[in-house]
Amino acid sequence: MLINDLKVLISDDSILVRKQISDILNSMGCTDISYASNGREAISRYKEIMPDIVFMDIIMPEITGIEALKEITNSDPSAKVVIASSVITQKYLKLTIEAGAFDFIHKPVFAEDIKKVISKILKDGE
Amino acid sequence: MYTQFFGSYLLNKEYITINQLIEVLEFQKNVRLKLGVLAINAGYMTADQVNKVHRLQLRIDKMFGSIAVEMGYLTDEQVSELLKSQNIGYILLGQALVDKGYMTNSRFENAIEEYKKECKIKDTDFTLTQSEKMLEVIENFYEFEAFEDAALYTEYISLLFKNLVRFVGDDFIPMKSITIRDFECKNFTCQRIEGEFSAYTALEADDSTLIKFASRFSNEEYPELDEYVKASFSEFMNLTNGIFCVNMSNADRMELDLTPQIFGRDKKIIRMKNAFCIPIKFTFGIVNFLIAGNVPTAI
Repeated sequence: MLINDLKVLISDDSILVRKQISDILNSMGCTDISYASNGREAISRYKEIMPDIVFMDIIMPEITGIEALKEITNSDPSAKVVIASSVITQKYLKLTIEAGAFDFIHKPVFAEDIKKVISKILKDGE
Repeated sequence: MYTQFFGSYLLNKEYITINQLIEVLEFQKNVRLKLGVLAINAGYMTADQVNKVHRLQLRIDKMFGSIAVEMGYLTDEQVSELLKSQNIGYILLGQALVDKGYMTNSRFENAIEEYKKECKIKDTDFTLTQSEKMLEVIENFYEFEAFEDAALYTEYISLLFKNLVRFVGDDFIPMKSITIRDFECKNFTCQRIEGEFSAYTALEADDSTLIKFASRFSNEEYPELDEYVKASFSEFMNLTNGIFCVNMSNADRMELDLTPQIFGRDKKIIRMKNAFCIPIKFTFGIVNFLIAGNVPTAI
């Protein structure tokens, strides 16, 4: 799989973080990006577009990232959901691993972290 | 951070005015020596190594020296040596005040001695024990004893100031706290920490201060107050609270939760309990930090 074939979903209630991740992806040549600003929206967008990767915040209104992660991995066990949050505590780490998170990124998000995760995804898709 | 608290001390003692201090901070911010620069200058680290440590510092609550030692770039002895020379930054504040004619040399010397005595700071405290000593300085400065969670408030405030330095800049002076019940807000972002330690936290600022704060935090030049400015303010709050929760969790002390941050405008936060405000005077305006023990209402 090539990077410009990747379909990405960014789920974060912060427009700033959505833009930061999106800018990094764009600079890598990835342009097929969809957005969600809460967990509920993330679940419905996931089912609609079936992305190759999801960047998911934990603390979001309506439904948290953890609940959205559970729902997504329940319906699609092959889903690749990367938790991108400032609050990756031991409790959340355990919960997200149990719920099937693919990887973790501590905020603030840097290009290098996104690149690492993307290359893992691309390798998996080979 | 000693510089900020020393500046605040000079103000409280009325040795200088707030405008004089702001002017000097503005002038001084371009000349302060960073530990990384000193390490490069001493030939202990390459610029690339310094950049790696700086990036790590943005997400983990550790001093530059500690990370550099863990990564094998510096030895404890080298850090100690560099920190001693870094005190030039602290002296620079006094030097600038003297140069501008706002203080005499002898008054500055006396003020520094008085400050060290009052805060029980020894010369050696400006080295490796800085983090622990900073908690003591904050504890003495803010006198949170009346609050049930005084120790946690102190740790939180220490982290807040460290994050302001990391993400926004060190050209600020922390003012004395004010006990509050209601607070008129122009722009504010709030978030609750929940669990064994519960607190309502908020940041407040006027339009122009908010725009400058957000521009610095995001490394973008925002010309007006838009959704990105609001999001930047909220994200700073979220990042600080997130790191606080991670610190508590990593130390096996407690597991805390956060609620989503909420941005508000032209509202009054009312019926706060066990609450206080810390005005933080930046060179570009005042940012008020509010913390309360209950869940207040914004009307």
